[in-house]
Amino acid sequence: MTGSPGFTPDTVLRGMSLRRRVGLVLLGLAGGCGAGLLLLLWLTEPDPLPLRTRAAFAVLTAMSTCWAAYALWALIRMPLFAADRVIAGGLALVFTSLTAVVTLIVAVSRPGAVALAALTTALLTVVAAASVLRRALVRRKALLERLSDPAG
Amino acid sequence: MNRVERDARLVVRAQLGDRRALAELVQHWHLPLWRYVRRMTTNADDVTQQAWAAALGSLPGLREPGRFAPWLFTIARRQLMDQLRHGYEGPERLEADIPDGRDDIVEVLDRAQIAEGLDGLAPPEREVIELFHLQELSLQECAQILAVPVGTVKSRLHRARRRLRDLLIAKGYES
Repeated sequence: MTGSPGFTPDTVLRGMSLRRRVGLVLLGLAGGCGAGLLLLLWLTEPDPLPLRTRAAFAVLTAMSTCWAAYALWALIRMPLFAADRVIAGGLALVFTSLTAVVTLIVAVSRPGAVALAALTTALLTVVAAASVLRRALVRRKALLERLSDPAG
Repeated sequence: MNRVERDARLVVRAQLGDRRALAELVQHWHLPLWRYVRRMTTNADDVTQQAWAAALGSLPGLREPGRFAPWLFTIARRQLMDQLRHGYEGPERLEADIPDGRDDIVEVLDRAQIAEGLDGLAPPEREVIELFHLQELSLQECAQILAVPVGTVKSRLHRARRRLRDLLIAKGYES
């Protein structure tokens, strides 16, 4: 039997670039953190907002959530190697920490149950991001040890 | 460095995020995997690309890098099974006293001749000849890919060799 494949190894590897994966991680984090902060600002407004302002908050929050959901959907369908996970964990820690700081500022300036709940959630996401980063570093270290050990 | 060691190193490097190692791994197995699928179906390009997509998606979690080849072929075989299911129906007869080696057939037939006769075999027999003689995987690796005991692999090989020999003799090759 003769013949050759109608595709090349490059076809197989298409879409596997680090830039694309990191881009999706950034999109997901920006969308998620953005949506959370918009919602926080909206819900902690001391005075009732005009209808158009509420509509704008709702649309922006929905758009940010959609971008975050799209990034999550795409990331689930692509392999994340050790380096990707370390980068993703580091970025997640930075984004969630910044979000927690902003949430803290809002909670101090506009105290209340909503602000407190938001601050608790933000701190939990920081812990989750730190855990993701730690696991990624442990996995990377294990792989490096395996690579340096010929018997491994 | 043998094939298993080479694959294991490339897999670990790829799992770390080394894209060159990943490309090298795909390059090594691009043609063998396609040829295996091509023996079993006319829709080889689609099935092979689906197999690669599934394999690369699961590669970061592969726990035994040294078993990359049987793992990859198992994934490809799963993609093939829906198309080939009818060829695998019915009970399988095991045969006793079957030799393990490749020599008995290789002495008589070269790879090109084996490849030429494969089209006349039933899918399970074609598959086992492709994996064992043409891809040069071990009996254990074949058993893992085919999800059957080693004894069943030997039986299939035995039957396939006999049938292949008959087919090639009918085509004019000397026994």
